[in-house]
Amino acid sequence: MTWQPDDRELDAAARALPPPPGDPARAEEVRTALLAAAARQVQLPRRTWVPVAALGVALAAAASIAIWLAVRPIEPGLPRIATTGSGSFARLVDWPAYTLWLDEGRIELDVATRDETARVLTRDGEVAIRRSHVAIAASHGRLSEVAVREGSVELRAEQHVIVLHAGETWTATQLAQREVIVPTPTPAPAHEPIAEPHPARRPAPPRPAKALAPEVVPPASPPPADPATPGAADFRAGWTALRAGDASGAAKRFALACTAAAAAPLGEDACFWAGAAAQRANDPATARPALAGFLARFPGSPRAPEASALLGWILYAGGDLDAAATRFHAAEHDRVPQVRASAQKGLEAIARSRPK
Amino acid sequence: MTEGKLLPFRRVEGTPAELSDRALVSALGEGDPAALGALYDRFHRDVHRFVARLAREPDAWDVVQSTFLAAHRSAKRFRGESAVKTWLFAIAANLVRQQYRGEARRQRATELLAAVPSATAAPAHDLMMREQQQRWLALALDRLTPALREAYVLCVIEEVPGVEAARALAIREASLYRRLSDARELLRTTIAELERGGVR
Repeated sequence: MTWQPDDRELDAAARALPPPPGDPARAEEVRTALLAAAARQVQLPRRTWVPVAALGVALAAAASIAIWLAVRPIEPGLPRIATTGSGSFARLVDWPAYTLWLDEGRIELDVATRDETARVLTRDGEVAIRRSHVAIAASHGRLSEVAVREGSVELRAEQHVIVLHAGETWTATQLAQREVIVPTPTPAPAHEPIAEPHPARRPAPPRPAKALAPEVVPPASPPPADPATPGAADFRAGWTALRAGDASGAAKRFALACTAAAAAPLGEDACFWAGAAAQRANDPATARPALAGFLARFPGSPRAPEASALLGWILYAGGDLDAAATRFHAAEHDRVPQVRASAQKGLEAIARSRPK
Repeated sequence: MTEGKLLPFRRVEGTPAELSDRALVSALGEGDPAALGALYDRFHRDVHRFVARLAREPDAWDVVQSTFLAAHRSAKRFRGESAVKTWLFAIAANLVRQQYRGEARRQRATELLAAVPSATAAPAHDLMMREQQQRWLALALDRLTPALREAYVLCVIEEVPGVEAARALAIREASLYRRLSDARELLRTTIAELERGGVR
Protein backbone atom coordinates (compact mmCIF):
# COMPACT_ATOMS: atom_id res chain seq x y z
CA MET A 1 0.00 0.00 0.00
CA THR A 2 1.52 3.34 -1.03
CA TRP A 3 1.99 6.03 1.58
CA GLN A 4 0.11 9.15 0.56
CA PRO A 5 0.09 11.38 3.63
CA ASP A 6 -2.11 14.44 3.76
CA ASP A 7 -0.65 17.69 5.15
CA ARG A 8 -1.43 16.87 8.75
CA GLU A 9 0.04 13.36 8.60
CA LEU A 10 3.10 14.57 6.74
CA ASP A 11 3.77 17.34 9.27
CA ALA A 12 3.22 15.00 12.21
CA ALA A 13 5.68 12.53 10.70
CA ALA A 14 8.21 15.32 10.17
CA ARG A 15 7.90 16.42 13.79
CA ALA A 16 8.43 12.83 14.88
CA LEU A 17 11.71 12.49 12.98
CA PRO A 18 14.49 11.76 15.46
CA PRO A 19 16.56 14.89 16.14
CA PRO A 20 20.15 14.97 14.92
CA PRO A 21 22.44 13.50 17.59
CA GLY A 22 24.11 15.96 19.93
CA ASP A 23 27.73 15.86 21.04
CA PRO A 24 28.25 17.24 24.58
CA ALA A 25 32.03 17.33 24.27
CA ARG A 26 31.88 19.25 21.01
CA ALA A 27 29.26 21.58 22.53
CA GLU A 28 31.64 22.40 25.37
CA GLU A 29 34.51 23.06 22.95
CA VAL A 30 32.33 25.42 20.97
CA ARG A 31 31.30 27.22 24.13
CA THR A 32 34.89 27.89 25.15
CA ALA A 33 35.84 29.01 21.65
CA LEU A 34 32.76 31.24 21.50
CA LEU A 35 33.59 33.08 24.71
CA ALA A 36 37.17 33.56 23.61
CA ALA A 37 36.05 34.86 20.21
CA ALA A 38 33.56 37.20 21.85
CA ALA A 39 36.26 38.61 24.10
CA ARG A 40 38.37 39.32 20.98
CA GLN A 41 35.32 40.87 19.30
CA VAL A 42 34.90 43.38 22.10
CA GLN A 43 38.51 44.46 21.77
CA LEU A 44 38.66 44.67 17.97
CA PRO A 45 36.49 47.81 17.41
CA ARG A 46 38.95 49.92 19.37
CA ARG A 47 41.55 49.25 16.65
CA THR A 48 44.41 49.55 19.10
CA TRP A 49 47.54 47.53 18.92
CA VAL A 50 47.20 44.85 21.58
CA PRO A 51 50.41 43.25 22.62
CA VAL A 52 50.38 39.52 22.22
CA ALA A 53 50.83 38.96 25.94
CA ALA A 54 47.85 41.16 26.83
CA LEU A 55 45.69 39.35 24.26
CA GLY A 56 46.76 36.05 25.74
CA VAL A 57 45.77 37.29 29.22
CA ALA A 58 42.35 38.35 27.89
CA LEU A 59 41.74 34.97 26.25
CA ALA A 60 42.85 33.16 29.37
CA ALA A 61 40.51 35.32 31.45
CA ALA A 62 37.59 34.52 29.14
CA ALA A 63 38.36 30.83 29.37
CA SER A 64 38.65 31.11 33.16
CA ILE A 65 35.26 32.76 33.36
CA ALA A 66 33.80 29.99 31.24
CA ILE A 67 35.33 27.34 33.45
CA TRP A 68 34.28 29.17 36.65
CA LEU A 69 30.69 29.47 35.45
CA ALA A 70 30.66 25.80 34.61
CA VAL A 71 32.07 24.51 37.89
CA ARG A 72 31.05 27.09 40.49
CA PRO A 73 28.90 25.64 43.26
CA ILE A 74 25.34 26.90 43.34
CA GLU A 75 25.13 29.48 46.11
CA PRO A 76 23.00 28.07 48.91
CA GLY A 77 19.79 29.95 49.44
CA LEU A 78 19.55 31.44 45.94
CA PRO A 79 16.04 31.04 44.64
CA ARG A 80 15.56 28.27 42.16
CA ILE A 81 13.57 29.55 39.26
CA ALA A 82 11.93 27.41 36.64
CA THR A 83 9.98 28.77 33.73
CA THR A 84 7.28 27.30 31.56
CA GLY A 85 7.43 28.43 27.97
CA SER A 86 8.58 31.93 27.10
CA GLY A 87 8.02 34.91 29.35
CA SER A 88 9.33 38.22 30.52
CA PHE A 89 10.75 38.76 33.98
CA ALA A 90 13.83 40.18 35.66
CA ARG A 91 15.32 40.52 39.11
CA LEU A 92 15.05 44.08 40.37
CA VAL A 93 16.55 43.90 43.86
CA ASP A 94 18.91 41.41 45.43
CA TRP A 95 18.71 39.87 48.92
CA PRO A 96 17.70 40.67 51.60
CA ALA A 97 14.86 42.50 49.79
CA TYR A 98 14.80 40.11 46.82
CA THR A 99 12.31 41.38 44.24
CA LEU A 100 11.43 39.92 40.88
CA TRP A 101 9.31 41.67 38.26
CA LEU A 102 7.02 39.39 36.28
CA ASP A 103 5.42 40.76 33.16
CA GLU A 104 4.40 37.70 31.18
CA GLY A 105 4.55 33.93 31.51
CA ARG A 106 4.76 31.44 34.31
CA ILE A 107 7.60 30.97 36.79
CA GLU A 108 8.18 28.68 39.75
CA LEU A 109 10.11 30.20 42.60
CA ASP A 110 11.57 28.05 45.35
CA VAL A 111 12.89 30.06 48.31
CA ALA A 112 12.28 27.35 50.89
CA THR A 113 15.75 27.85 52.43
CA ARG A 114 15.62 31.64 52.94
CA ASP A 115 14.35 33.43 56.02
CA GLU A 116 13.94 36.79 54.31
CA THR A 117 10.84 37.69 52.34
CA ALA A 118 11.04 37.67 48.57
CA ARG A 119 8.55 39.55 46.41
CA VAL A 120 7.20 39.04 42.95
CA LEU A 121 5.62 42.15 41.48
CA THR A 122 3.27 42.59 38.57
CA ARG A 123 1.50 45.73 37.45
CA ASP A 124 -1.53 44.94 39.55
CA GLY A 125 -0.36 42.71 42.35
CA GLU A 126 2.35 41.51 44.66
CA VAL A 127 3.18 38.10 46.10
CA ALA A 128 5.26 37.97 49.28
CA ILE A 129 7.07 34.66 49.72
CA ARG A 130 9.01 33.34 52.68
CA ARG A 131 10.27 29.77 53.06
CA SER A 132 7.93 28.69 50.28
CA HIS A 133 7.75 27.14 46.86
CA VAL A 134 5.23 28.80 44.61
CA ALA A 135 4.23 29.03 40.94
CA ILE A 136 3.14 32.45 39.67
CA ALA A 137 1.69 33.36 36.30
CA ALA A 138 1.03 36.74 34.72
CA SER A 139 -0.50 37.84 31.46
CA HIS A 140 0.01 41.31 29.97
CA GLY A 141 1.54 42.43 33.23
CA ARG A 142 -1.44 41.30 35.34
CA LEU A 143 -1.33 38.55 37.90
CA SER A 144 -3.33 35.58 36.65
CA GLU A 145 -2.49 32.69 38.97
CA VAL A 146 -0.64 31.86 42.19
CA ALA A 147 -0.27 28.18 43.17
CA VAL A 148 1.50 27.31 46.42
CA ARG A 149 3.45 24.05 46.49
CA GLU A 150 5.07 24.45 49.89
CA GLY A 151 4.77 26.97 52.73
CA SER A 152 2.53 30.04 52.69
CA VAL A 153 2.44 33.23 50.64
CA GLU A 154 0.67 36.53 51.01
CA LEU A 155 -1.03 37.83 47.93
CA ARG A 156 -2.09 41.43 47.43
CA ALA A 157 -4.25 42.03 44.39
CA GLU A 158 -6.99 44.50 43.66
CA GLN A 159 -7.06 45.82 47.20
CA HIS A 160 -7.50 42.34 48.61
CA VAL A 161 -5.03 40.54 50.82
CA ILE A 162 -5.16 36.76 50.73
CA VAL A 163 -2.97 34.21 52.44
CA LEU A 164 -2.51 31.00 50.49
CA HIS A 165 -1.18 27.81 52.01
CA ALA A 166 0.41 24.73 50.50
CA GLY A 167 -1.92 23.09 48.02
CA GLU A 168 -4.01 26.21 47.41
CA THR A 169 -4.34 28.12 44.15
CA TRP A 170 -5.61 31.59 43.41
CA THR A 171 -6.67 32.67 39.93
CA ALA A 172 -7.58 36.14 38.70
CA THR A 173 -11.16 35.15 37.98
CA GLN A 174 -11.91 34.29 41.58
CA LEU A 175 -12.27 37.86 42.80
CA ALA A 176 -14.83 38.42 40.04
CA GLN A 177 -16.97 35.48 41.14
CA ARG A 178 -18.61 37.42 43.92
CA GLU A 179 -20.32 39.62 41.32
CA VAL A 180 -21.27 36.91 38.87
CA ILE A 181 -24.75 35.45 38.67
CA VAL A 182 -24.89 31.80 37.76
CA PRO A 183 -23.43 31.72 34.25
CA THR A 184 -25.22 30.24 31.28
CA PRO A 185 -22.76 28.30 29.16
CA THR A 186 -22.97 29.41 25.54
CA PRO A 187 -23.23 26.38 23.24
CA ALA A 188 -20.73 26.34 20.41
CA PRO A 189 -22.43 26.29 16.99
CA ALA A 190 -21.51 23.43 14.69
CA HIS A 191 -18.72 23.94 12.14
CA GLU A 192 -17.55 27.06 13.90
CA PRO A 193 -14.52 27.64 15.98
CA ILE A 194 -15.14 27.90 19.68
CA ALA A 195 -14.27 31.45 20.63
CA GLU A 196 -14.22 30.70 24.34
CA PRO A 197 -11.95 32.97 26.31
CA HIS A 198 -8.92 31.01 27.26
CA PRO A 199 -7.12 31.94 30.42
CA ALA A 200 -3.36 32.08 30.87
CA ARG A 201 -1.56 28.77 30.82
CA ARG A 202 -2.45 26.83 33.93
CA PRO A 203 -1.36 23.34 34.95
CA ALA A 204 -3.82 21.43 37.09
CA PRO A 205 -3.76 22.80 40.64
CA PRO A 206 -4.33 20.39 43.54
CA ARG A 207 -7.45 22.23 44.76
CA PRO A 208 -8.88 25.70 44.41
CA ALA A 209 -8.59 28.37 47.08
CA LYS A 210 -11.28 28.42 49.76
CA ALA A 211 -12.88 31.67 48.46
CA LEU A 212 -14.60 29.82 45.59
CA ALA A 213 -18.09 28.47 46.19
CA PRO A 214 -18.11 24.86 44.93
CA GLU A 215 -21.51 25.09 43.21
CA VAL A 216 -20.50 27.99 40.94
CA VAL A 217 -18.83 26.82 37.75
CA PRO A 218 -16.52 29.68 36.95
CA PRO A 219 -16.37 30.66 33.32
CA ALA A 220 -12.95 31.86 32.31
CA SER A 221 -13.20 35.60 31.98
CA PRO A 222 -10.85 38.54 31.80
CA PRO A 223 -9.90 40.29 35.03
CA PRO A 224 -12.62 42.65 36.27
CA ALA A 225 -12.31 46.11 34.81
CA ASP A 226 -11.76 49.08 37.05
CA PRO A 227 -15.01 51.13 36.82
CA ALA A 228 -12.94 54.30 36.51
CA THR A 229 -11.30 53.10 33.27
CA PRO A 230 -12.95 54.46 30.12
CA GLY A 231 -15.11 51.77 28.60
CA ALA A 232 -15.10 49.66 31.75
CA ALA A 233 -18.82 49.93 32.38
CA ASP A 234 -19.67 48.93 28.80
CA PHE A 235 -17.15 46.10 29.03
CA ARG A 236 -18.78 44.73 32.17
CA ALA A 237 -22.23 45.11 30.63
CA GLY A 238 -21.00 43.22 27.57
CA TRP A 239 -19.88 40.31 29.73
CA THR A 240 -23.16 40.24 31.62
CA ALA A 241 -25.06 40.14 28.34
CA LEU A 242 -22.82 37.42 26.92
CA ARG A 243 -23.25 35.22 29.97
CA ALA A 244 -27.01 35.75 29.76
CA GLY A 245 -27.01 34.51 26.16
CA ASP A 246 -27.53 37.91 24.50
CA ALA A 247 -24.59 37.82 22.10
CA SER A 248 -26.00 40.61 19.94
CA GLY A 249 -26.42 42.97 22.88
CA ALA A 250 -22.98 41.99 24.14
CA ALA A 251 -21.42 42.84 20.77
CA LYS A 252 -22.89 46.35 20.91
CA ARG A 253 -21.57 47.01 24.43
CA PHE A 254 -18.13 45.60 23.60
CA ALA A 255 -18.02 47.83 20.53
CA LEU A 256 -18.67 50.87 22.72
CA ALA A 257 -15.95 49.75 25.12
CA CYS A 258 -13.59 49.19 22.21
CA THR A 259 -14.05 52.80 21.11
CA ALA A 260 -13.90 54.29 24.60
CA ALA A 261 -10.91 52.33 25.88
CA ALA A 262 -8.85 52.99 22.73
CA ALA A 263 -5.22 51.94 23.30
CA ALA A 264 -5.67 50.83 26.92
CA PRO A 265 -5.26 47.10 27.67
CA LEU A 266 -9.01 46.90 28.19
CA GLY A 267 -9.46 48.14 24.63
CA GLU A 268 -7.68 45.11 23.21
CA ASP A 269 -10.02 42.71 25.01
CA ALA A 270 -13.07 44.79 24.20
CA CYS A 271 -12.25 45.03 20.50
CA PHE A 272 -11.66 41.28 20.27
CA TRP A 273 -14.95 40.48 21.98
CA ALA A 274 -16.85 42.98 19.87
CA GLY A 275 -16.03 40.80 16.90
CA ALA A 276 -16.29 37.43 18.64
CA ALA A 277 -19.69 38.24 20.17
CA ALA A 278 -21.05 39.45 16.83
CA GLN A 279 -19.83 36.23 15.23
CA ARG A 280 -21.54 34.25 17.96
CA ALA A 281 -24.72 36.22 17.28
CA ASN A 282 -24.55 35.14 13.61
CA ASP A 283 -24.05 38.74 12.50
CA PRO A 284 -21.24 38.53 9.94
CA ALA A 285 -21.89 42.07 8.68
CA THR A 286 -20.82 43.35 12.12
CA ALA A 287 -18.32 40.64 13.01
CA ARG A 288 -16.21 40.88 9.87
CA PRO A 289 -15.19 44.58 10.15
CA ALA A 290 -14.86 44.24 13.92
CA LEU A 291 -12.43 41.31 13.69
CA ALA A 292 -10.54 42.87 10.77
CA GLY A 293 -10.29 46.10 12.76
CA PHE A 294 -9.01 44.22 15.81
CA LEU A 295 -6.30 42.50 13.74
CA ALA A 296 -5.25 45.80 12.19
CA ARG A 297 -5.00 47.54 15.56
CA PHE A 298 -3.47 44.70 17.59
CA PRO A 299 -1.49 42.52 15.17
CA GLY A 300 0.78 41.23 17.91
CA SER A 301 -2.02 40.35 20.31
CA PRO A 302 -2.05 36.80 21.74
CA ARG A 303 -5.68 36.76 20.52
CA ALA A 304 -4.73 37.55 16.93
CA PRO A 305 -4.64 33.92 15.71
CA GLU A 306 -8.02 33.24 17.33
CA ALA A 307 -9.49 36.34 15.69
CA SER A 308 -7.95 35.22 12.41
CA ALA A 309 -9.65 31.83 12.69
CA LEU A 310 -13.03 33.44 13.40
CA LEU A 311 -12.62 35.83 10.49
CA GLY A 312 -11.54 32.93 8.30
CA TRP A 313 -14.88 31.17 8.84
CA ILE A 314 -16.79 34.34 8.01
CA LEU A 315 -14.83 34.78 4.79
CA TYR A 316 -15.28 31.11 3.95
CA ALA A 317 -19.04 31.39 4.41
CA GLY A 318 -18.99 34.44 2.15
CA GLY A 319 -17.18 32.50 -0.59
CA ASP A 320 -13.87 34.38 -0.38
CA LEU A 321 -11.71 31.25 -0.20
CA ASP A 322 -8.33 32.87 -0.82
CA ALA A 323 -8.77 35.43 1.94
CA ALA A 324 -10.14 32.73 4.23
CA ALA A 325 -7.11 30.55 3.57
CA THR A 326 -4.77 33.40 4.50
CA ARG A 327 -6.62 33.84 7.78
CA PHE A 328 -6.56 30.15 8.59
CA HIS A 329 -2.86 29.93 7.81
CA ALA A 330 -2.30 32.77 10.27
CA ALA A 331 -3.97 30.67 12.96
CA GLU A 332 -2.74 27.18 12.22
CA HIS A 333 0.32 27.40 14.49
CA ASP A 334 -1.36 29.06 17.46
CA ARG A 335 -0.46 27.70 20.87
CA VAL A 336 -4.12 27.04 21.75
CA PRO A 337 -5.10 23.56 20.47
CA GLN A 338 -8.74 24.54 19.74
CA VAL A 339 -7.61 27.43 17.55
CA ARG A 340 -5.16 25.23 15.65
CA ALA A 341 -7.84 22.59 15.16
CA SER A 342 -10.32 25.18 13.91
CA ALA A 343 -7.80 26.60 11.44
CA GLN A 344 -6.96 23.13 10.21
CA LYS A 345 -10.66 22.33 9.71
CA GLY A 346 -11.02 25.58 7.77
CA LEU A 347 -8.14 24.74 5.46
CA GLU A 348 -9.56 21.27 4.86
CA ALA A 349 -12.97 22.76 4.09
CA ILE A 350 -11.37 25.12 1.58
CA ALA A 351 -9.45 22.27 -0.05
CA ARG A 352 -12.70 20.32 -0.46
CA SER A 353 -14.47 23.37 -1.87
CA ARG A 354 -11.93 24.14 -4.55
CA PRO A 355 -12.52 22.56 -7.97
CA LYS A 356 -10.10 19.63 -8.61
CA MET B 1 -0.43 44.16 22.04
CA THR B 2 2.83 44.84 20.21
CA GLU B 3 5.99 44.48 22.23
CA GLY B 4 9.12 46.47 21.65
CA LYS B 5 12.63 46.09 22.91
CA LEU B 6 12.83 45.13 26.55
CA LEU B 7 13.50 48.41 28.33
CA PRO B 8 13.48 47.74 32.07
CA PHE B 9 12.61 50.69 34.21
CA ARG B 10 15.49 49.69 36.40
CA ARG B 11 18.78 48.29 35.20
CA VAL B 12 18.51 44.61 34.40
CA GLU B 13 20.18 42.64 37.15
CA GLY B 14 20.30 39.11 38.30
CA THR B 15 22.14 35.93 37.62
CA PRO B 16 21.30 34.39 34.25
CA ALA B 17 18.87 31.94 35.83
CA GLU B 18 16.94 34.90 37.20
CA LEU B 19 16.46 36.47 33.80
CA SER B 20 13.92 35.67 31.12
CA ASP B 21 15.17 35.03 27.60
CA ARG B 22 14.54 38.60 26.55
CA ALA B 23 16.13 40.07 29.64
CA LEU B 24 19.14 37.88 28.94
CA VAL B 25 19.51 39.29 25.43
CA SER B 26 19.06 42.76 26.85
CA ALA B 27 21.85 42.05 29.33
CA LEU B 28 24.00 40.76 26.47
CA GLY B 29 23.39 43.98 24.59
CA GLU B 30 24.50 45.93 27.62
CA GLY B 31 27.80 44.08 27.73
CA ASP B 32 27.15 41.61 30.54
CA PRO B 33 30.00 39.09 30.16
CA ALA B 34 28.06 36.19 31.70
CA ALA B 35 25.06 36.64 29.43
CA LEU B 36 26.62 35.10 26.31
CA GLY B 37 27.52 31.88 28.07
CA ALA B 38 24.08 31.74 29.64
CA LEU B 39 22.40 32.29 26.27
CA TYR B 40 24.49 29.52 24.76
CA ASP B 41 23.68 27.15 27.62
CA ARG B 42 19.98 27.79 27.17
CA PHE B 43 19.72 27.51 23.42
CA HIS B 44 22.66 25.67 21.91
CA ARG B 45 20.76 22.37 21.69
CA ASP B 46 17.84 24.01 19.88
CA VAL B 47 20.13 25.87 17.49
CA HIS B 48 22.22 22.76 16.78
CA ARG B 49 19.10 20.69 16.13
CA PHE B 50 17.81 23.34 13.72
CA VAL B 51 21.13 23.84 11.93
CA ALA B 52 21.82 20.11 11.64
CA ARG B 53 18.63 19.73 9.62
CA LEU B 54 19.76 22.44 7.24
CA ALA B 55 23.52 21.84 6.99
CA ARG B 56 26.05 19.01 6.93
CA GLU B 57 26.82 17.66 10.40
CA PRO B 58 30.55 18.44 10.56
CA ASP B 59 29.78 22.06 9.65
CA ALA B 60 26.78 22.37 11.91
CA TRP B 61 28.83 23.17 15.01
CA ASP B 62 30.71 25.87 13.16
CA VAL B 63 27.39 27.43 12.24
CA VAL B 64 26.23 27.15 15.85
CA GLN B 65 29.30 29.03 17.05
CA SER B 66 28.91 31.69 14.36
CA THR B 67 25.25 32.06 15.26
CA PHE B 68 25.95 32.94 18.87
CA LEU B 69 28.82 35.20 17.87
CA ALA B 70 26.50 37.06 15.53
CA ALA B 71 23.90 37.23 18.29
CA HIS B 72 26.52 38.77 20.56
CA ARG B 73 27.19 41.47 17.94
CA SER B 74 23.56 42.23 17.25
CA ALA B 75 22.00 41.87 20.72
CA LYS B 76 21.64 45.63 21.05
CA ARG B 77 19.42 45.68 17.98
CA PHE B 78 17.09 42.91 19.18
CA ARG B 79 13.67 44.49 19.45
CA GLY B 80 11.77 41.63 21.06
CA GLU B 81 9.39 41.29 18.11
CA SER B 82 9.91 37.55 18.12
CA ALA B 83 10.88 34.94 20.64
CA VAL B 84 14.61 34.79 21.34
CA LYS B 85 14.79 31.25 19.97
CA THR B 86 13.22 32.39 16.70
CA TRP B 87 15.72 35.25 16.52
CA LEU B 88 18.59 32.79 16.89
CA PHE B 89 17.03 30.52 14.24
CA ALA B 90 16.84 33.47 11.87
CA ILE B 91 20.53 34.20 12.35
CA ALA B 92 21.40 30.54 11.87
CA ALA B 93 19.27 30.21 8.72
CA ASN B 94 20.98 33.22 7.22
CA LEU B 95 24.42 31.78 7.96
CA VAL B 96 23.51 28.42 6.44
CA ARG B 97 22.18 30.14 3.34
CA GLN B 98 25.42 32.03 2.91
CA GLN B 99 27.46 28.90 3.43
CA TYR B 100 25.49 26.60 1.17
CA ARG B 101 24.60 28.54 -1.91
CA GLY B 102 24.29 26.38 -4.96
CA GLU B 103 23.90 22.73 -5.64
CA ALA B 104 26.33 21.21 -3.20
CA ARG B 105 23.65 19.96 -0.84
CA ARG B 106 21.28 18.79 -3.54
CA GLN B 107 24.15 16.78 -4.99
CA ARG B 108 24.62 15.07 -1.65
CA ALA B 109 20.90 14.30 -1.43
CA THR B 110 20.88 12.84 -4.93
CA GLU B 111 23.83 10.60 -4.04
CA LEU B 112 22.00 9.42 -0.95
CA LEU B 113 18.87 8.69 -2.95
CA ALA B 114 20.83 6.72 -5.48
CA ALA B 115 22.05 4.50 -2.68
CA VAL B 116 18.54 3.69 -1.43
CA PRO B 117 17.56 0.15 -2.47
CA SER B 118 14.32 -0.27 -4.41
CA ALA B 119 11.27 -1.11 -2.40
CA THR B 120 10.53 -4.76 -3.04
CA ALA B 121 8.74 -6.86 -0.48
CA ALA B 122 6.34 -5.10 1.89
CA PRO B 123 7.63 -4.57 5.41
CA ALA B 124 6.85 -7.30 7.88
CA HIS B 125 4.84 -5.10 10.25
CA ASP B 126 3.74 -1.58 11.04
CA LEU B 127 6.85 -0.56 12.98
CA MET B 128 9.12 -1.35 10.06
CA MET B 129 6.75 0.51 7.75
CA ARG B 130 6.91 3.58 9.97
CA GLU B 131 10.70 3.42 10.13
CA GLN B 132 10.87 3.14 6.37
CA GLN B 133 8.52 6.09 5.95
CA GLN B 134 10.73 8.08 8.31
CA ARG B 135 13.79 7.28 6.22
CA TRP B 136 12.00 8.34 3.05
CA LEU B 137 10.83 11.52 4.69
CA ALA B 138 14.31 12.37 6.00
CA LEU B 139 15.75 11.85 2.52
CA ALA B 140 12.98 13.85 0.92
CA LEU B 141 13.60 16.66 3.38
CA ASP B 142 17.24 16.64 2.42
CA ARG B 143 16.23 17.00 -1.21
CA LEU B 144 14.24 20.21 -0.73
CA THR B 145 15.75 23.44 -1.93
CA PRO B 146 17.28 25.50 0.91
CA ALA B 147 14.45 28.03 0.83
CA LEU B 148 11.75 25.38 1.11
CA ARG B 149 13.65 23.35 3.68
CA GLU B 150 14.33 26.25 6.04
CA ALA B 151 10.67 27.34 5.85
CA TYR B 152 9.42 23.81 6.51
CA VAL B 153 11.88 23.06 9.32
CA LEU B 154 11.19 26.40 11.00
CA CYS B 155 7.39 26.29 10.83
CA VAL B 156 6.54 22.61 10.96
CA ILE B 157 9.34 20.89 12.85
CA GLU B 158 10.35 23.74 15.15
CA GLU B 159 6.71 24.96 15.35
CA VAL B 160 7.55 28.65 15.12
CA PRO B 161 4.34 30.68 14.52
CA GLY B 162 3.91 31.77 10.91
CA VAL B 163 4.06 35.50 11.65
CA GLU B 164 7.38 35.11 13.46
CA ALA B 165 8.80 32.71 10.91
CA ALA B 166 8.03 35.07 8.03
CA ARG B 167 9.73 37.88 9.87
CA ALA B 168 12.72 35.68 10.70
CA LEU B 169 13.15 34.70 7.05
CA ALA B 170 12.46 38.27 5.89
CA ILE B 171 9.65 37.24 3.57
CA ARG B 172 5.94 38.01 3.45
CA GLU B 173 3.53 35.68 5.17
CA ALA B 174 1.88 34.78 1.88
CA SER B 175 5.29 33.76 0.50
CA LEU B 176 5.94 31.65 3.57
CA TYR B 177 2.66 29.74 3.21
CA ARG B 178 3.36 29.22 -0.46
CA ARG B 179 6.77 27.77 0.36
CA LEU B 180 5.19 25.44 2.93
CA SER B 181 2.65 24.29 0.40
CA ASP B 182 5.36 23.75 -2.22
CA ALA B 183 7.53 21.93 0.30
CA ARG B 184 4.74 19.51 1.20
CA GLU B 185 4.02 18.79 -2.46
CA LEU B 186 7.66 18.15 -3.18
CA LEU B 187 8.04 15.93 -0.12
CA ARG B 188 5.07 13.82 -1.22
CA THR B 189 6.41 13.56 -4.76
CA THR B 190 9.84 12.48 -3.55
CA ILE B 191 8.36 9.96 -1.11
CA ALA B 192 6.31 8.48 -3.95
CA GLU B 193 9.46 8.19 -6.08
CA LEU B 194 11.27 6.41 -3.29
CA GLU B 195 8.37 4.03 -2.78
CA ARG B 196 8.31 3.13 -6.45
CA GLY B 197 12.05 2.65 -6.30
CA GLY B 198 12.83 5.07 -9.10
CA VAL B 199 15.34 7.88 -8.70
CA ARG B 200 15.74 10.82 -11.05
